[in-house]
Amino acid sequence: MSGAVFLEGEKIELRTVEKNDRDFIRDNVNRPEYRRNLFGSKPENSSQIKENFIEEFVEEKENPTFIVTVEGKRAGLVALREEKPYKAEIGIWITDEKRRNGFGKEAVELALEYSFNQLNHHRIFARILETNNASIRMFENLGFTREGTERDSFYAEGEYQDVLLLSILEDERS
Amino acid sequence: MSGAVFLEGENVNLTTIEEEDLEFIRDSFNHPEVRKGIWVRNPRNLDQEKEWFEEEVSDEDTVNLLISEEEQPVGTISLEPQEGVKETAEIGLHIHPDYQGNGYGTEACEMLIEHGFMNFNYNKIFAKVLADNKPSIRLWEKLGFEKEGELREHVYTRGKHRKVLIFGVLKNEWVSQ
Repeated sequence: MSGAVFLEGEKIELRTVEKNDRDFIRDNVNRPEYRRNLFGSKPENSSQIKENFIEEFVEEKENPTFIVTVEGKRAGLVALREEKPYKAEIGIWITDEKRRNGFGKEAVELALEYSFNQLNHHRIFARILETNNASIRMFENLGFTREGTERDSFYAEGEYQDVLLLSILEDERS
Repeated sequence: MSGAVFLEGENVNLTTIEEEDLEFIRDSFNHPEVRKGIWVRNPRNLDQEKEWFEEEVSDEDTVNLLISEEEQPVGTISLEPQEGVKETAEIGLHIHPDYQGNGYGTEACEMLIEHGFMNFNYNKIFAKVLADNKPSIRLWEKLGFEKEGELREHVYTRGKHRKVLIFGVLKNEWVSQ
């Protein structure tokens, strides 16, 4: 199946993103109920996922990105977009079938530990649509602080919506 | 494993790295246990290993070989000439955690060091190692390398800035031992 195991948790593993993950990614990021939370508005086909995401974002820019797997099966994706050597934005999604099992939380925990302990980051932040309560709760449970609001920052379903900014600093980890 | 045997040992051979070996190399270099001993930063997928294969393995200067036990790849080893210096080379290796503790690393190093001194006419071969990587330090000491220096707080890994040591062996020391 897919990539090499890079980080191991209790319930999940984080693996390298490979070209053959592209249809899994495509099928999930295009789902109507997901794409709003991922700030997507245009359709993305398999070749766009391959070129824009896997080849450019993952391979060329070397943003640490992982497929979340549970017992070897794909369950989601977590990515760190390095904005500066000391800070990165984190993004996460888990497939519908695998939600509410704590997999997303564990994936973010593993990514955070890697980010702070291995990449020497100081600040990790997340941008979350204000209506995405499940995500906001998860990041707050992980010790992220709600630090600001981007007013009317995203347009979807006929209206402008606020985007919340949450962050955690290296000395705030629990 | 499908490459040609380049150096033949008792328990392991050093064989050419072929494209089919990249999956083993990817799985091994991303392995959490392997990354504790080295300071590879980011995850690397198969495409990135292919790029490494095309640009570096197939490059003429650096020697990169697969360490194989019969048909099974167990690790990799490399000997890289220093830029602008033709008498000194840096050696590096890794063994997949499933195959550690069998002396494969020692044997692989012996073969490649011998080859470096006798066929490339190097005068010195050195290695860099994390100061807390005890098994690796023991390996260089066992092979007759001397500790030459310390690079203070040289790399950030596992939550802190860590020291890197340099170990080296000279041709006349190698020949006489």
